[in-house]
Amino acid sequence: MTVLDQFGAFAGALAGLLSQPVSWLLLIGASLLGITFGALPGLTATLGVGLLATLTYSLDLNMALIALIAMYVGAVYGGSYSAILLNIPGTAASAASAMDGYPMAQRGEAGRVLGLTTTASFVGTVVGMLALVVVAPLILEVALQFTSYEFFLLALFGIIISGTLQSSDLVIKGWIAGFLGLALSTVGRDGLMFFPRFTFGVPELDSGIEVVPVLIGAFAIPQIIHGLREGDGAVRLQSVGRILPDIRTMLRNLKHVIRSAMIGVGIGAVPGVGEDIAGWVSYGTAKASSPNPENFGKGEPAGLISSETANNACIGGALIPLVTLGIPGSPPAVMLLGALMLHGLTPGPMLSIEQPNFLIELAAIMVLASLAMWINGMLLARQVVKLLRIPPSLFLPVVAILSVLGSYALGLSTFNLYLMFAVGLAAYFLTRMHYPISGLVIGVILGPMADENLRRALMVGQGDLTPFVTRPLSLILLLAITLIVLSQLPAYRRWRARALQRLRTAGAGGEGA
Amino acid sequence: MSRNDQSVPGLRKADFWTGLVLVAISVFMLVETLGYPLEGSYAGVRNAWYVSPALLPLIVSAFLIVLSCSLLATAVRAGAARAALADVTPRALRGHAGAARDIWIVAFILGGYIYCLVPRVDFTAATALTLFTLAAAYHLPTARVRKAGLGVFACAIAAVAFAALAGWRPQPRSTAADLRDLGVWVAFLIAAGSVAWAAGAPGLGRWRRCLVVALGTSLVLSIVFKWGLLVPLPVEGVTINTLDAARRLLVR
Repeated sequence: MTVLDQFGAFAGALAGLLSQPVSWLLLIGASLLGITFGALPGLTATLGVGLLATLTYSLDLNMALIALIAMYVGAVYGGSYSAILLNIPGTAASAASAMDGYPMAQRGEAGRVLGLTTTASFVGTVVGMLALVVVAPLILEVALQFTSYEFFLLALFGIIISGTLQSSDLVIKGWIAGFLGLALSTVGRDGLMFFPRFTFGVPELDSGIEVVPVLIGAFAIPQIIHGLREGDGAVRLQSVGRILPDIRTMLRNLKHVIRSAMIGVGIGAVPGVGEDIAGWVSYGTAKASSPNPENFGKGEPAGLISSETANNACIGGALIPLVTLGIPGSPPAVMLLGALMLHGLTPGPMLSIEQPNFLIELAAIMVLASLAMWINGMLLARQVVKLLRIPPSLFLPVVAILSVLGSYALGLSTFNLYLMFAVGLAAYFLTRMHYPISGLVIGVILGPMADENLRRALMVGQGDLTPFVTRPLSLILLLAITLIVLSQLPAYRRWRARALQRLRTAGAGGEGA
Repeated sequence: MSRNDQSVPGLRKADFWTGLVLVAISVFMLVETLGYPLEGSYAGVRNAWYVSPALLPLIVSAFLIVLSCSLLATAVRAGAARAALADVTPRALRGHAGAARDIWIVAFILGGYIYCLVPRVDFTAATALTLFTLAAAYHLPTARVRKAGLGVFACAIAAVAFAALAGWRPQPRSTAADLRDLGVWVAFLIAAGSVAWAAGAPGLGRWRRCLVVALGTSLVLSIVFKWGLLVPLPVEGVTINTLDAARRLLVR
């Protein structure tokens, strides 16, 4: 497709979506729901996408995609409301926004801050969409050369890198979480011989573990328990005046906007790493590169703009590996993958052949979702803010019931509920011990891909393992996995520390001479 | 070294116990997998180790054993083994149980709802009772309120569980089923009354909010899912049947 053809397809997709009133309703409604989900502390974009995935199960793919993307974009943006007005991030993605957003709100600039964050989020989402449209076809060119060997190693790579980057304690815990997810994915009858694995005679386990209820349980139950344990606390909401788009401030901080968008896209493209890291890295970079770093944390607009642009640009970045390789780039993208699979769509390189216009339609939906988010933000933010007065002790039990109903709605099976709760309780204890749950769910999602491709690859080679090292792409992936693992070993870290110390000593000795 | 070594972080002590559990799970997984066919044929399909259903589980269990042992070793090197074992005293266990009280309250309420009520009684009634109990436990977080609400909830769960174990499974839309569902509504009313009594006058405002949230959410969700999204509820009992009859009257 030439650039002109792509632009024509994009315009056609936009026109097609805009011509249906239902699309508008879904866009505005899902975006508002997403903003609400993001704004309420204790609720996350991941949970919002997961619950909406169950509610949109009966819709056709396009309508479901509109609702889910609008929810995703809205929720990532919505986290800034409570970050700015309460100094409590609504979602982890907005944690960095509280650093400067809250002091600005305390100065009586809450309306201006919300306007800034809305515009920054809009710009970030659009840049992320542009990156998706430009980069994804390039990756697809490479991915279409992938065979079973590469797909197996890709699944392993996704689990290892996600565990390495997401673990807040020992890296080993991230890897354990990933392999536990892989172990869960093997439950059920295998695809090749229909042999029952770990079913223990329970007929409901024959078809394996239903992915979306497990995801909902893994994210919802820990959030609910944690939120209720934290208690309600005193709500001191900053008052909000008129919300206006502060274009002048955005233009003054243009370099922060562009850099933050690039950071967001880059971090989003790394499997399992999400909007929270994008926000913090961008904030840290803005502070480090600022001529006045001492202003950060006291109400510096550049800090707010950097984190909000990055966390929304991350959405487009997270969709790049999702669409091209079938590997989700962030926790909400994990849920999105589950939702797409519910609709019979398998993201990956074959998608470009089976549904050649999917990428363009997704880009059109992202543009409209960011527009809906901007409209909702400018017009309805003051109404949404009132919801922040609802204490967690009242809305978290409702979320629990929604999780139960949503899990039941898929397949109409109470067994899904039993699994959801059991996995959720286990996930809570794992979270308490600093195991990254996103690593576990990535293992669950990528497990079937790893299993199927490993056996297919070995079947082709009659058990020969050498193609894993003789095929160039396989070798690159294998080396990447090996390097990541080696870099975390204590022996390597000690050697690296000694080498750096020797370099510093040699450098100091050279200067002294 | 003192019997309860406070210098060992709690996380490492927890890692010691989880390391043991993970080793046990991985070894179990490995043993179970070794029973899967690695050669010959299965269901008419020729089997070899490289296409065996045991392949990925073997790889995963092997990695899990190595990683769990590494976690255990890290915990032991940090002195966590001695500290964790020293923590296994009745006093320390009571302390842990106290600290984990909130977890068990939420787990008990949600677990009772999912495993006991949802598969057996009217969904709307079960949801109202559960929502009210959970909201009251945290919106009116006094010991008296919790005892009142949880006590009634526990009795309701026990009654439903006992009936299920005794093999009592009334036919849908039968008088027995209606009576069962009305029993849950009665439990809801008793819970509301006892929590109001426990909360006293100062807590009445919060009590009203819990009541509104419980009743409103259960009714709205039931209506939206049943007639809006056309998703059948797990058990459609007396409440849905009554609402359905009312809907038919209004539509006529």
